[in-house]
Amino acid sequence: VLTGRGWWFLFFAATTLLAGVVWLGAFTSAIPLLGLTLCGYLAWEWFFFQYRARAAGDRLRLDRELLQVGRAVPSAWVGSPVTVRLTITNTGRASLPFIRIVDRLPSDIALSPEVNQLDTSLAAGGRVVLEYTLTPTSPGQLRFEGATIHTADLAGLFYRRQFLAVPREYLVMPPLADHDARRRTTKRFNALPPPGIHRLRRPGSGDELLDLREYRPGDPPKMIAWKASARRDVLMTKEIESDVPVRMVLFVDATNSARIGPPGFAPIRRFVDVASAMTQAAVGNRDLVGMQILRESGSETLAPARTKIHVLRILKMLTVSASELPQPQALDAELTARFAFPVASELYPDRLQSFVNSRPFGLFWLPISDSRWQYVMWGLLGLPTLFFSPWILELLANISATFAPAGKTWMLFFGLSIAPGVLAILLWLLHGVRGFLQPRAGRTSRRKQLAMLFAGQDAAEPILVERYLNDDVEFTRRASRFLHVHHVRLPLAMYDRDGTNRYRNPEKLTQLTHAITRSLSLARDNELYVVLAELLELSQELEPLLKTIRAVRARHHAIIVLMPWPADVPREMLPETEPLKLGTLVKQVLIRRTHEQYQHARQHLVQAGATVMLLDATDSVQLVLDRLDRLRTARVRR
Amino acid sequence: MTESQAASQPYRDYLFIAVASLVLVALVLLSKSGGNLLVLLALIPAFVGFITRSTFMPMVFLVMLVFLNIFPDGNVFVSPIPSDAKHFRIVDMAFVLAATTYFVSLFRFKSLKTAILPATTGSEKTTQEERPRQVSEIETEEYAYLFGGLLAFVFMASLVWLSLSSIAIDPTQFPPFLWADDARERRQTNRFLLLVGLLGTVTIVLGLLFSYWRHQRLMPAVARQYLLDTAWRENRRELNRLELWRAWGRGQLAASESFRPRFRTLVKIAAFVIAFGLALLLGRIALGLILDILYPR
Repeated sequence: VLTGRGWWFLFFAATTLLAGVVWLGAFTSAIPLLGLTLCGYLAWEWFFFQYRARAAGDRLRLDRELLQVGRAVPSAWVGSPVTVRLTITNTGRASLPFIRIVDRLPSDIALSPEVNQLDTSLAAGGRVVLEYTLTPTSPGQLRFEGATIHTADLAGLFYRRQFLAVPREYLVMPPLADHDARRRTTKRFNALPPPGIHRLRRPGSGDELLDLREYRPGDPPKMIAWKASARRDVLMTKEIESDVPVRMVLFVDATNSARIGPPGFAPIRRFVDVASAMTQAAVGNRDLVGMQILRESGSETLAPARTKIHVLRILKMLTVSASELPQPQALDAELTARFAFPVASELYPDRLQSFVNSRPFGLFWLPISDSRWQYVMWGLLGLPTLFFSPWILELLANISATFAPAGKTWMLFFGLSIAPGVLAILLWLLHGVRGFLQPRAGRTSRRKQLAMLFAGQDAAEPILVERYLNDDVEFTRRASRFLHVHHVRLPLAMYDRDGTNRYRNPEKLTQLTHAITRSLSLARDNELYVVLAELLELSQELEPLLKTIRAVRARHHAIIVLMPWPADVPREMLPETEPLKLGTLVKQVLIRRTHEQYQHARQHLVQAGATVMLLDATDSVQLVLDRLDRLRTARVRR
Repeated sequence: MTESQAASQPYRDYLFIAVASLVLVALVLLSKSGGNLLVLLALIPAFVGFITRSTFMPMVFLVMLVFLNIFPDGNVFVSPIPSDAKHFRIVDMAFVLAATTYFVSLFRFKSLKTAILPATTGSEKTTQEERPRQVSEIETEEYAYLFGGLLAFVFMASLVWLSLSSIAIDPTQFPPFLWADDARERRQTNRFLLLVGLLGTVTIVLGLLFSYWRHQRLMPAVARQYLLDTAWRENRRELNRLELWRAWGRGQLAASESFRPRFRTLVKIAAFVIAFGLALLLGRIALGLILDILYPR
């Protein structure tokens, strides 16, 4: 591609050459010679640039590594800096005098600006290494698409951009245990059971006295409480508390509704942070931890355990859940295309070139046969058939004779005869030409290029291209999949025209209820269920969950429900201001509704026996753990 | 030499080369104008181009050079004297070499000081910040290639100019070319046709070469898309017809599954009936009027 500088130079050099050869060469040889030299230089630069682009630019190879402490790693951790090493190798026969390598960065990272670029030259067979450090800021996936290579000649007259697509995905695990998940060292009770063992107020074989009861035949004599027996004159037996491990089961909501929210503040991100810290804290206390992830496609289960591999498995499951983007429920084809096209232009520039992705003239023409205007056109074209009627002919002749000047009657007669045909042609022309006008032409062009790209990626038949061009539903589905793969968020319309939340998912409650019931059926002595779910929108339909919670409590287990507070809704009500604007009013209504939903859900859940905690976006994980710990220990405190 | 001085060395190299070129250009212009110092004013845009690093000022300088070659003393009221083309004149070659060196040095200087990847137009427009070429990448061979290449270009250009001036096209002969004196009568037309022919031939040959190379080096995914695009272009109309029918069928199916006469549809039908009735009435009135005019009672 010629740069702006190149175009100017070409224009003036070519003008000098043309003027010199055709006209000014008659007066002096210097001008044509100058024109020829300048054009020759430009042509030579172009030739060499093209040669280098083919012989070297198309033969670059990119390798990527993620390093931590000098070693290649398959995944990263939130908050831990990781070094990205890019090696570009020139396997071609030509050298590149100047290239700029720009690595495309994934989302949700912290990076100082411009360190992901490198300007260098690259000899044939040589290699360059670009290294930079980034820090993942939230759990999920780091997707590196590849690197953009800008090539230019030394004078900056020619320029080429290519993208070396080498997609790589790395999991970003939640932060490993630090201060958030340290094992408890503070002594809260005089009789502190050993790690991993918790007191349960049921008769068992622990150390603490639970109760006294009358002796029953078969009771071991060593359990007889002699003093109490002497006082009452009846044999009494001591009952000892049970010592059991706590088994914690996490129920994590990873459905679509939990993935909606501002980038980095979606409820699922918060769930993953908290679940990860709770898992590590529990395992640090030698408690068993299990997990169930709830998705639209079904739930995924991990049985309780407390090994390190098990913890890593839980973290991986959480990470995969956090990396998923919300699936848009209602999308406009044009909106999707507008989001997808820049991504495609950046990542697949070679597949959008007209060379492999043509846009023929006929693509933009709007055939009248596809619209209802065709009936008008056929009607106009059919009008001359009326001329077979002598009455019509006589009428036309009379009109001509009346309205046309003498001697020019035939002209009016001829004009009236061909007028319908001319009108039909005009109609056909105007209808068809509209396709070449903006913004329709831009839309068609974008859509065609994307359709061809998608069909090419799917290794499909040519008919799929036409389907994507004509079928909005198919196109939208495919384009949103494309954006989803490349981790591009689409704007979500939360509510439909009737004000109904599109992402409300009542099936989630059924799923959650089944999951808890299943766990309950396998439960032993001392279970702690932690539900991390987005339930605000379903606050009026909690009855099945409430029943399950009552069953859990009836079996003497504990259940904690952690509900996220929407990141974009303030915790306090907005003060009423005068004059009230429409926007403020809507905002107030929405905030009030959220508060009411929370209060309603909280009231019913607490009445059923659950402990409810609100997960605010600003709460630190340590705070949540402390509160949870208080809740867990409070029930055994006497 | 300090580090910063060493870093600025390449800029200065190109600056010195450009200034030396301009001195040579000035000397040639002075010799052509008979020592008229006013011609040195033509160098002002060249220096401005360096100071401001503007893309346009060197082009103004080029126009000035052309002007001063036609009117060496700057007097536009004197008609230029036609002269026989002379080839391989040292003065002309030195002038052309110096002017070309200036342009190339200026562009490379600009790449080092301002930006090597200027923002371009169209779909390739880049949003990245403009950054100059890194100084550490400069190699000493650049200068050698620059001077060697430009000398070769000037020599080749002289050869081409000799050919353009000496060859005439005569379609009545085979091969349709005349040499030397026979070509003088239709010199300008000949030059133009030869230039067009030369450029066309070179462009077509190089274009075919690169096109072949491009096809040959296609990546598998791109090649697959190339074939897909070709197949789509050949069958587009048939496929479009099929898809339209399919879309129509889907629409019919959806309509039959959820048929619900809407108020809007009813309003449309009513409006159509009323409009049709009105049109009939107006047509009847208009026809009556026309018939009254044509056949007065």
